[in-house]
Amino acid sequence: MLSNLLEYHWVEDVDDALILLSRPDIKTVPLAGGTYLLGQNDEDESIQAVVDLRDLGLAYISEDQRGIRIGSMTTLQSMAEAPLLKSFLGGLLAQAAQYSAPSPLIRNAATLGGTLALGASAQADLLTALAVVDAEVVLRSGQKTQVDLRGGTPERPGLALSGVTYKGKQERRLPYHRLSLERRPQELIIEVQIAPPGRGWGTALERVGRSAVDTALLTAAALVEVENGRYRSVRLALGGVNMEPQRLPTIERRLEGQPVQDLRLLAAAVQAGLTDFRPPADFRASQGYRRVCGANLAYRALEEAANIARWRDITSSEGRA
Amino acid sequence: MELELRINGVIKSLDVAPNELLLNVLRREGYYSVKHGCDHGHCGACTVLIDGQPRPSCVMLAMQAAGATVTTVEGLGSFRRLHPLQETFIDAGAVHCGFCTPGMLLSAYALLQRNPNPSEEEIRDALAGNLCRCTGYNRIVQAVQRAAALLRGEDIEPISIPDSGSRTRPWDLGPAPLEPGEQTSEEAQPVHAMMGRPERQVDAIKLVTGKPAFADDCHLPGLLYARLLTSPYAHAIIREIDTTEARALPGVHAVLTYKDIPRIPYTSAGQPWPEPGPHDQYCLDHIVRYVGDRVAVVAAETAEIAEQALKLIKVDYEPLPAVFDPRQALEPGAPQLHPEPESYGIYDANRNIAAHVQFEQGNVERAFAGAELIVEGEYVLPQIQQVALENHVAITYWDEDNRLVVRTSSEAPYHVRRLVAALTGLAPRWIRVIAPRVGGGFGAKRDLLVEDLCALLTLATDRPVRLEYSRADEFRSSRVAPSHIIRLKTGLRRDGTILANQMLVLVNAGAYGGQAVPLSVGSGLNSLPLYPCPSLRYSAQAVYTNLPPAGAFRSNGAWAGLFALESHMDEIARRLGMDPLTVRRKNWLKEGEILPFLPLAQAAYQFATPQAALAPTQLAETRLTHCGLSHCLQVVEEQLNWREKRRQGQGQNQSGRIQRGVGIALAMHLPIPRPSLLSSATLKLNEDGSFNLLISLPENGNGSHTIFAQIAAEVLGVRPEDIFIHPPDTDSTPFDTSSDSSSSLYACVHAVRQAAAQVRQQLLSVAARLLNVPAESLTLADYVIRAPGGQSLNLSQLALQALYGEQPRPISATASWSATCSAPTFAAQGVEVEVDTATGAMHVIKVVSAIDGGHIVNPVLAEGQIESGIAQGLSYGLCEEMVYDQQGNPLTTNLNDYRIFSARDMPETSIVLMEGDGADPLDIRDIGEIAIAAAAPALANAVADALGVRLRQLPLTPERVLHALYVARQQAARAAT
Repeated sequence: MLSNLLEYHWVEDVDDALILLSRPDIKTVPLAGGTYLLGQNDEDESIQAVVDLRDLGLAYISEDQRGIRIGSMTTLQSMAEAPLLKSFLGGLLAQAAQYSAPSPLIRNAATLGGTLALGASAQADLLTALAVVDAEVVLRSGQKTQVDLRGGTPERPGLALSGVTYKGKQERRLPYHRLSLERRPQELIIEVQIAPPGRGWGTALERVGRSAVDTALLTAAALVEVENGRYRSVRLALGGVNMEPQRLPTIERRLEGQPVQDLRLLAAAVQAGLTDFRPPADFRASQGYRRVCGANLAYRALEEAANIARWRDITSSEGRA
Repeated sequence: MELELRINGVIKSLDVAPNELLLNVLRREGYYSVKHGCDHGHCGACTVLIDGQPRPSCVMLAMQAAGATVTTVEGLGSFRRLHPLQETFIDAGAVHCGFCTPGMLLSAYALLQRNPNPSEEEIRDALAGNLCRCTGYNRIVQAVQRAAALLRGEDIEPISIPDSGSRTRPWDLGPAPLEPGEQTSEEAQPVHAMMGRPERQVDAIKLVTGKPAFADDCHLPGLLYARLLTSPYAHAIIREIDTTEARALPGVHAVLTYKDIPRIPYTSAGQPWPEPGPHDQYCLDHIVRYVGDRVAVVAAETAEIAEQALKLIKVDYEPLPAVFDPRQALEPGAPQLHPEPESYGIYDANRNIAAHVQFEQGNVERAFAGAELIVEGEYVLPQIQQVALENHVAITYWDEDNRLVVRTSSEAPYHVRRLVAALTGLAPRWIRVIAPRVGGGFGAKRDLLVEDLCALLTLATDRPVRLEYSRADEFRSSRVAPSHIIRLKTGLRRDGTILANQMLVLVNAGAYGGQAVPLSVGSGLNSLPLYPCPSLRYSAQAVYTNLPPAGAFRSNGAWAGLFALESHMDEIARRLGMDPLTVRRKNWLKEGEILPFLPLAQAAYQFATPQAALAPTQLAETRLTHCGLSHCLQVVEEQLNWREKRRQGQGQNQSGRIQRGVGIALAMHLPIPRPSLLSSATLKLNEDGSFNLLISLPENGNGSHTIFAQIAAEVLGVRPEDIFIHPPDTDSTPFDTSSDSSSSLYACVHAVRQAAAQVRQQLLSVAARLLNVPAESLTLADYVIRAPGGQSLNLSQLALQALYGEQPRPISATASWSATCSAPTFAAQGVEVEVDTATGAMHVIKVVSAIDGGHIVNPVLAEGQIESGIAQGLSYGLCEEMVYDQQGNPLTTNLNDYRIFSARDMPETSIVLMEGDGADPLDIRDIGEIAIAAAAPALANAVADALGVRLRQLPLTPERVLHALYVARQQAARAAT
């Protein structure tokens, strides 16, 4: 419950949202699904206004030559059900979206943008999947030229703009793994872009919870590319509840160039690479459990992804031949 | 702000605040089907359809719905024309307490709109956000499948009912006499054969259509909203409390602290007078004893103002040392929770022992000394929460006669009246308690948690006041099922004969000991008698700690004792190298044996309430007249394919990542004998031949009201839907010592039957006068009273004649039933499980349950009770645990952190109901509590079978499983070297 909420704004243009969000005198936050904002035990009493983003036309999933683009207002349920995402990367993102909230009711409300903005608080498997696919996040905010809007604008007469200095819009792209560190307070998440994988790819998502639909104590996501029976590229991330997803570069580097079928090598790489993995402990699971289980899940995810990739590599090689 | 909403096809223009939740706006507008359950969108009780998509309205601002169409269950179908989903939910027995039903229906409706032919997995996924604590989900899934088939235009089979043993109908009054030429057929089955049939729940239609059936489903003009200020410290003295600013806040009408009310020791446990528990609680006190303990309460014009006022109350706390582990609480020098002289009934306040019970027979030490094998084990059960979907809520107001009305979700209305009277200073006659319906209780709603404060606020303000717990309040400030540490020591002969058994129990009673006595009794009473032996020792202590107070959870700790004992029996079998079932069969309780533990319960009550103690002879000679353990175990053994699967288990295929195992556990449930278990029922005839039944046992989802209707209908020769049940109201419904597990149901059933029999007799005597024949010659069936000569009167004719004819008289009767306890229920349960040895995660594949539960009045309802017990048992076996930080702050305060089973988690179940032999027509027994108790030990035994590793602590989390595997491998490696 937002006890001090005074204003509720609908906007149909991103610029309007940015104007409202940049007001210095009234704390305004974007409202996507609202499930987190309104469901917290300790409410944020400083919030005075919300900007509802649902009419911005940012709920979409599309594909072009650069890959998949997912609008920030796309709900988790839409992602879980979208045919495009069910086939893209072996359904990794659709599956991760499905797991990200145990309840379909929440998935019907919670959005990709909200999940990204919350980061670890979202407790979403999707973040681990985005980390492993090297997703890029498109953000929009002000630009260098400042426009004084104290007199209001003819196009937006209804907005309360007194005292607002609007910096206009500026768009930039951030790799997902830098988002939580580098996103500025007033930047709005517009969309996520994911490049298609090369030939001979395979993905896997492995997780463990206390029950079938529990938030993940630990999630492992892997994206592997195989060429001629060897790892061409390996991407592995571990995440889970209250954890920032973590890529395991040591494991990735140790495996690249190595033969896929050597499972002892895979086990050794996972064991050696997990020395970098220092997950947090909470009441659900200790750090020790997450480390042991992380090794098992990482091994399993890599093995499965590699098997799929190898098969795909073989079939595509046969196709070329 | 102005908001236009299209709700169920009607456009409404509303004035809403920017921060108003859609849930609150809808309820304010009278859409009471939308329930408040969790505040986080986790439980689904508040589900509405937004443009056809199910969403939780508790985490959605009303403004977010602008321009959208909103659908609630009120728009799905009416009682005149139910939607097929509503029909199938009723037929399949998918409605229990009904609190989750509207949300469940909407999620199912949305699914069928987009997918007319969903798979079972798709249905379970669609319902995964709608939690239910009363059913086991499987009947709900079945209802959705049936509705989908109906909507596709397909025919559906009649609803399946559980397998049964030799079913008898003890109260069958005999078939109606056949008219000349009349043929018996299934269609022509007489309506009076109500017993043992899957009758529709009599209150189901109002629940599937979202009618205002619950305590909070009303709105009173001038209502004030109350909020509770709770302690942030686990143990502290309130040095000073300043409410000046809070009282001055516009809109605040009252702020109460310990300074405003008398300090009266009481127990919040709703138990018959005189309560057996320590009287160690004070309505508001200057000492707080756990994080979440009461500090102050505010009543204001809105919930937001009340919340704001709480922040303005200045409290100067002096923190005191706190203790959370009962073992530490027993040590000398431990912080003492109840040094105050006013409290009474505490066993040993200096040592923090709220209650202590002890029982011994034979010479235990000598038996241990002579035993060929001693097996010992310590078992640990966590503190868990009952998680009724409906939170505690009360609304209090003065009625037109200046009497205080308490409208509450309590399971014990008469106890509420007695306790509120004691705490407000009003005489009971000035208090009227109404308990319309309970949205799940499971023991937590036997305690007085909100009614007293709400009443005091109405006294202070002269305004109607509503006090409702939030979900976080439920986790912080309600009652919990306590953690237990149970030590077992068993002396045996090598052939498996048990010579001596010892069970030592430590119950974490939390800060107040209201339920300490029954909890100390319950774990032993319902476990050790399963395996009688010459030497037996039981000792239980309920120990105070700075944690939330312990309460009941579908029995008083029977599940804890049985988890320990049934795990221990498998350990014994392993040590002996015997089959676990053989060991059980060798030692189990048999018909004709004396139940050894009844004197224990008696002793406990003698200590606590000497004036109400039972005469020793009343219980000492109690012998078991019936025991279906053998039959139950045989059924489970066969259905689980025990022998075959057991050979595959035992951790024999250790190289595989996924290991499978099976486990079986037995259970018994014997309600704790009460000195004064009393139920009453009033039944009266209406002019049209229908009847009103007045009882004071609230319907909490166990189907009791349907069972009462079936029993009365059986006796009176009418359909159950012509028995209209009046919910508990202390002004009009007769006295009842509800609600102590289903033993209350047991007593009330008898009261209803007696009242019905008396009314039947009255009907026959009036008819005899009118027809001029002896009453003994008349039969009553199918709404008609027939004389041997062919004359007949239907009930409505008879009613008019009785009420308005010559010698008018009302046809009504009040009957009561008093008993110490019902006969015990027995069960066997088998679980098949799959364990991932890489993560420790578990998947329950199948549960088989066989219950020896006496005569089954309604097999669908009975199966629902058992299925829900299985769901709860597996849920706490796998994932439920209340966790605290080092300062005693609860870390699990929502339904995401504290997981309970969802539709996706529930395995396939097979339930077999063993019925009695019909020798005793009153053989109605408790079945609500037994299924929960056997599931967890059967699960732990199945895991031991799968992995060869015994886990003695619940829940069996992935981490505990993996850790146990690691330890076992380390030990094996050490042994090998």
